[in-house]
Amino acid sequence: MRWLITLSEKEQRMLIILFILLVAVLALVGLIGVGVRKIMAFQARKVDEGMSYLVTTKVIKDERHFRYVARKKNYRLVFAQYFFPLVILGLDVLFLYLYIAISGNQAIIQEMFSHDARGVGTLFFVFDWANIPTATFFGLVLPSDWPPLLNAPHFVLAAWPNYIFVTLASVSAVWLMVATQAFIARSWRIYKKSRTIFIKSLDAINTLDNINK
Amino acid sequence: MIQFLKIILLGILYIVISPLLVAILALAMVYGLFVFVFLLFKSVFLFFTGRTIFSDYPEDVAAKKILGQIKEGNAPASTGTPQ
Repeated sequence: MRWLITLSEKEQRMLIILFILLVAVLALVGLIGVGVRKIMAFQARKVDEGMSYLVTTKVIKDERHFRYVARKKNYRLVFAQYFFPLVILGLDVLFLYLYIAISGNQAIIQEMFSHDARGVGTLFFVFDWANIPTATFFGLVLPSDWPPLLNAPHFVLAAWPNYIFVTLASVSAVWLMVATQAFIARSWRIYKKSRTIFIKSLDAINTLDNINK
Repeated sequence: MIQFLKIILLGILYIVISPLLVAILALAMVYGLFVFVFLLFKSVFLFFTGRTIFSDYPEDVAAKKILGQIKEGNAPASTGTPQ
């Protein structure tokens, strides 16, 4: 505690703020993780929809057959769920290709994410992170203020092809990621269920029941 | 409080294993894209033979047949036309 006393009022306040920030970030990441797990459990239910009646009717009787059919159905779902995002991405690339072919202006690709030309960066706050103000705290060089602002959001009409391209590409990328997450969730459920539903357990058998009858 | 601590610990865990999670996601996406391309060619081929990749598997047909038989067995017996 002695070293705490030697801290100035400002340093103590900074330490508390850093601690609160750290806890908030960790809690946020934890909550996002819990949310993702819940979504994955929901996505994995597709396996139950496609496989439960095959097991209850005893058409599928063993682990290997279960995995074989479930995997084939899982692949079909991957095809169905990847289809639209990949079509959007393909059309998006085609759009940019046609724009460049018609306008003859290839520089728009290099400017795609810029904030000072025709990029999507013009729509966002852009900070100069390389020149962030710092302060020395216990020998550590830490950020002490917000970095200088390089760009405030503003609309640039000439940047419309990049706005459309990046927006559609982002939508299809997120869509693909969610579809991939669902693919992983289903694959994991198939593996887990194939190991448990055909298990032959002695725990459920009580021979005395048969003797008493 | 314990719940909150659990969430914080989970947060630490997810940050530590996040590179692994991203790698798994990337590998699954690449694998999924291979599956997509393979099934795309297969669906085109099946399309020209008058079939689709979304048709029932033999196991589905067998299961539906069994379920149909069970439903018929449980259905109340027809009393015929009322006299």
